[in-house]
Amino acid sequence: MTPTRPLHTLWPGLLDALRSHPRARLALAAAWLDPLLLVDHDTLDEYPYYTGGLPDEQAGLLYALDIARRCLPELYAATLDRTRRGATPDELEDAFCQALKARYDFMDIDSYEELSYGVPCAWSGLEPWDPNFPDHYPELEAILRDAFGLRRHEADDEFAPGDLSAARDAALLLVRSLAAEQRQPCADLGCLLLWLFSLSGNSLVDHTAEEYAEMGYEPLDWHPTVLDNVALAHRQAALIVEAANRALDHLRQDPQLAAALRRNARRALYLLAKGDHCHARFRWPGQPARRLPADGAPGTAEPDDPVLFLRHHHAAPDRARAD
Amino acid sequence: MFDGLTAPALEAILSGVPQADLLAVRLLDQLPSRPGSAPLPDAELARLVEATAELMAYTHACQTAARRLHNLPPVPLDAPILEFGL
Repeated sequence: MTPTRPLHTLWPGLLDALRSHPRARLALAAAWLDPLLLVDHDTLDEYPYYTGGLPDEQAGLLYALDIARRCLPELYAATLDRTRRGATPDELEDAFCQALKARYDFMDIDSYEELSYGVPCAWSGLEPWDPNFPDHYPELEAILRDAFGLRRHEADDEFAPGDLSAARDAALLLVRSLAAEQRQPCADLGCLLLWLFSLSGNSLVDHTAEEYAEMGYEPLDWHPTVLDNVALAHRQAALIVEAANRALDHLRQDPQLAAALRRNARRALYLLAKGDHCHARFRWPGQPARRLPADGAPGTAEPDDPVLFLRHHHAAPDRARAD
Repeated sequence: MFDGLTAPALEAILSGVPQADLLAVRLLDQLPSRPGSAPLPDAELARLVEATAELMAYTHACQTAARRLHNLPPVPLDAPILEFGL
């Protein structure tokens, strides 16, 4: 009779046998380093509503690994390595979320389940029509009131229909004028108007999370290209909002600039009402830049980001052609 | 591109493709044979990441090549088929 051996003692022999055969060696390497290669992605798509019979924590880990495999191979490899080293489910989930946050500072994620809502975004949009807006943003409310002449009805704290829209059109004229100045603090002030009136063209700056959801957009897919675009949009959003906050400092410290904003906003509203705004020009304190700021080409000075942003995205069409 | 290529020639080409030198396989050879031991030292994480990315690219390329081969137009056999030699 053949003597029996404990099963675990077979492991070295089995491993060596697998490693000695080229095809088995490759399959073993794939199973070791890329175990999600053959996982059915359709079942993962339904997480957290359908887990394919797996416990929540395992389904969540698989879902997270599938995202990492597509978008962040280094996180995929690191998470698998942690599982092999015996990390607990909580440790794995925490490490995964922390790694995402470290890579993308705008991602506020604490659980696998939050991944299922799509690529998370940090929304900075304003809602000036909201009755609570004056309490949250008193300085911005003052600009709406003193520069653009917007008044809230006492009954409901809302603006008259059309007033905000007219102010928005006036703000767009001013943004183009500020873009043409190609200098600071005009560029910061232009960014402030873009933010205040949701004119930037960057959804993160122009909408709140609620607004974006109400517009019926699907969650953003976890895909490398989408992730790159979202990261780029957040960098641009940060540039605009930081510039807007600097502009508020400028307005506090520079009475001439604040007066110019009030004067030019009212003139823009007047010209728009007359329909005589096509060739409107507005004067701002200081001198317009004589030379265009550099684009950051080798050997040139560091360009000012808000100036370049306004120049590229919000200059008047004729000005853009002249550049 | 494949005009005139016969099945044996295609087989010879495919079987002549050299084995890929993958970091994943080299790391696999370094795995200790003892059960329950840590797969690799901590310091090897960077190499594991590199190996994983390389392996994923390799398997993706293999899957793509297999799909393309599956969709090849018919490859003529060079063996005579006597049944139709009327």
